[in-house]
Amino acid sequence: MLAYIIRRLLTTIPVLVVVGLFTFFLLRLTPGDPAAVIAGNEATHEEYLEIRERLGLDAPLYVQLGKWAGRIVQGDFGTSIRSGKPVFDLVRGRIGPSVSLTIATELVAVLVAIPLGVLAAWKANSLIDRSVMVFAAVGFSVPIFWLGFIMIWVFGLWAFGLDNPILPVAGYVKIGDDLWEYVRHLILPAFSLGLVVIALIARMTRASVLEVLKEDYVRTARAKGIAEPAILIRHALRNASLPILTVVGLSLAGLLSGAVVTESVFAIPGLGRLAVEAIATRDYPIIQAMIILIGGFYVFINLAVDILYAFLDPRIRY
Amino acid sequence: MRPLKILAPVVGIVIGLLAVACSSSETAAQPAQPAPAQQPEPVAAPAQQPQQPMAPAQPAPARPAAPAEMAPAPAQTVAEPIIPVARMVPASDADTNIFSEDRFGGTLIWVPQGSVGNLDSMTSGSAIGRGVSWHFWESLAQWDAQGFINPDMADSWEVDGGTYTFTLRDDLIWHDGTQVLPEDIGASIDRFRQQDKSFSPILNKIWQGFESVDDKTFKITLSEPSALLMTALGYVGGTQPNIMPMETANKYPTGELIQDFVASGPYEFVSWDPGNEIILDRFEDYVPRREEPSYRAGAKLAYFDRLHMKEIPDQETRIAAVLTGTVDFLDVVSSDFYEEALNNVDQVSVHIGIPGAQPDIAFNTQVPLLGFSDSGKKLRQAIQAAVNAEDIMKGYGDSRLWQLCPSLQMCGTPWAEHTDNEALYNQNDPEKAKQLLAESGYNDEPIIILDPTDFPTIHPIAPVLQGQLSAVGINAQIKATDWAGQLAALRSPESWHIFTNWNSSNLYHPLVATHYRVGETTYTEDSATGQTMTMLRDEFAAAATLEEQFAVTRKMADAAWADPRRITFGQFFQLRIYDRDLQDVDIRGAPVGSPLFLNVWWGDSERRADDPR
Repeated sequence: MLAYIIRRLLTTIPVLVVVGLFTFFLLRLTPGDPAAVIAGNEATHEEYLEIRERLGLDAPLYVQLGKWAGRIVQGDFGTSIRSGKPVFDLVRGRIGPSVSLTIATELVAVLVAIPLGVLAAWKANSLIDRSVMVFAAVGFSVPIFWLGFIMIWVFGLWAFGLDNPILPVAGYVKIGDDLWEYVRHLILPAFSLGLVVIALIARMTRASVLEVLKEDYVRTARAKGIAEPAILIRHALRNASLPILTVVGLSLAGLLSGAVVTESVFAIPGLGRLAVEAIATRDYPIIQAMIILIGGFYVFINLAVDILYAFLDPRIRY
Repeated sequence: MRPLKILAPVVGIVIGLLAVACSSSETAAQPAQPAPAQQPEPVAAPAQQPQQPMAPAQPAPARPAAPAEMAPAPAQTVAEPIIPVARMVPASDADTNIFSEDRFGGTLIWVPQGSVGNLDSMTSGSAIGRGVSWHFWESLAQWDAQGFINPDMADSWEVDGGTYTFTLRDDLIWHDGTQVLPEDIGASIDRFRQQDKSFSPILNKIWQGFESVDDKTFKITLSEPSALLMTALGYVGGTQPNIMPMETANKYPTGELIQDFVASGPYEFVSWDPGNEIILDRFEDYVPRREEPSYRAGAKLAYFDRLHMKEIPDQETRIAAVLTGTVDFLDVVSSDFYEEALNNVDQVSVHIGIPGAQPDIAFNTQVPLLGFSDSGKKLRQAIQAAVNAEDIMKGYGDSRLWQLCPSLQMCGTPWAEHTDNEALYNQNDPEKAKQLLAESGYNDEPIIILDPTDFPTIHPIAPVLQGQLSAVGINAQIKATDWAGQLAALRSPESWHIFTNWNSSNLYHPLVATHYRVGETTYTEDSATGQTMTMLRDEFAAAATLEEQFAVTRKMADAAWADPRRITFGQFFQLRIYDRDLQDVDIRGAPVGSPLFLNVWWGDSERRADDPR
């Protein structure tokens, strides 16, 4: 297992290199550059060229790439062109809110979706099953931002009046500052963002469990008189868990890097907002660092999921 | 296989993020609005008399133990009239109890109109960062609500020929506790003269030197006396003449963004998390001036224990946040929410920031089609004749939130009547346009209009303008992009013809206004109008009285109207919504432009009791 993990970790290096190269060159193909943003609309061409020179954007691409790669190897992600602050500090400050939102969302999704999926499989083709699947279809179709606004309206503005909102409508509180407020500030965004993940996991759970429930060993278990809940959880769900785990893993990585809409709607200072702001101002160092980080997330979560496979299914050995 | 399996979603994310950069977005996921080129400043109306000279400041502690009297009417240094304006709070309404102990305390949470890019307002002209920085940076002089320059860090100044002798006010210290010295002033002004593109090009021609006399006195010598010096050292728009410690000025040369915010103002910098929040705390050792507060001049009282700026990118959420008391003040709200705000006036106060900003277009005179040849001029005049400004302004929402304005400079300021032209503004004359078009020799060449679709206060222009130009036979095409893409297009002059934008604070002074500038992207030096403008700008700098400045401005405006390089459409106003318990939001007399929370306080004692520090 250890050798496997080391081997997998080593494969992340070429992956991240390719991601880095891809990002670097695609960014340079995007219309606009940070020098143009800094120069604004009144600078002369000479002033614009001075800014390009100061930022090193006048150098050949391979020189820029070499300098950037050299710094990355040393753990230096550079300085934000827009704010002048170290990129590492900016990204580090955004990881906490994004990880919190991701975990809260995934927690909500798993706790709701798996029981729903198992229930739907158990009562396949019944009214319950169809209701769960309709719920999943709706959950998958509802735009996240729309749901966010509805939740803000219901829980913030409408339910108990403006003076007594049940839940805060915007912002983020650090866990170390106030645990209760930390949790309260995550409830609305987690449910808003979680609906689509609930839908995804519920459907996957239903399909997987349904498949397992047709197996001979389940019929045998029933013939032995084992209680239905035990059959569902111990026999069916465990054997159906690999595809569910895959979906949970991929959604984790996606949530961590792609909760842009939810972070904007609920004013959570996470990685998604940082990325969008950086793109709007063509802040190359931040964008490049973010993409590398996101690539790293995917690699790490894929590895974690693969390792978990082995624990859930004794037949899998690395 | 595994690397490919991993790579696929990552590449998808990369492409997705980059697609955001290349496309427009008006949904909830819209990126933070880029900082506009300039932001509006105080409303203006002609003043009758120049303000009386100022008295030497009477130092007062930040939180005096007992109420103190206001300073008497100023008396010594002649304040220089720059823009005789305004929304001045009538003297009878002036609050003489501003040093009262019971106003101090509490936190104000405000939401800026966009994301703060940096706080070095001497380097960046971005209005959002500039507004925040006004709470901790100070200048030698400041604008008041009437548009006069008043002493701020300077206690007084005397003019003898081209020699200006300044005396710093007492008890002036940096936030690190050290004394403000003339050397700091010299280094700061040197940095400003290198950064500023509005006044300094002229000022630098007559600049002779800076000399420290003692710990509180210094001299600036010009080759000839000029009103531009004090105008520049107290101007509110564009790059700011902030005074900073010499170490800071030297550590961050031209073009480098300052990261050390040790300043001398009423609030001190605590922290900044870019894209999220800024925290400023009251500087307890600050000694305010004693004069009546008036816009950026006079007594600046930091009543709040803490100013907490919080960025909320989404407009719907911002409204919900202020209505539920999550935040206290929204700076510039989309006009779409005007009605909703009015429906909740028992909860919040609604403020319309007049005069706001002027949306306009600028022609790309670097391409021959629209250049300074006769045919180029005719084509630009044809477009000027085709424009129906009213239809364009309707894109700014409720009719109470915009107005037509036939002036090149802000309607509501005294410059407006010297820069207007009723005949050439809002002509909506298709026949005249077609005739000029024929005279220009226009042959159906595409006219590319840049449209930054992520900029809600610029985007309304392009679609309406395209329709108006097409109606007179111009092959107008829209090139949709984001703001950063539009700025990049500027650097490829062959790729566009019309730049859409809006202006505000640079329309408060003719030397700052883009309409009369000379350069490669404005009126070129070799063009007839460029030569006229160069001559008139020099005349303006040498003008001895305000009346002479008005007369020169009229000539500049006439030249700009006749050979149009920009076309203005009107003015849209900015909507602000804030907690009803906030007191004296208007007391400084110019609650437009970037919000200024000096002398603003909580009426509710419970809110004042909450000290988060």
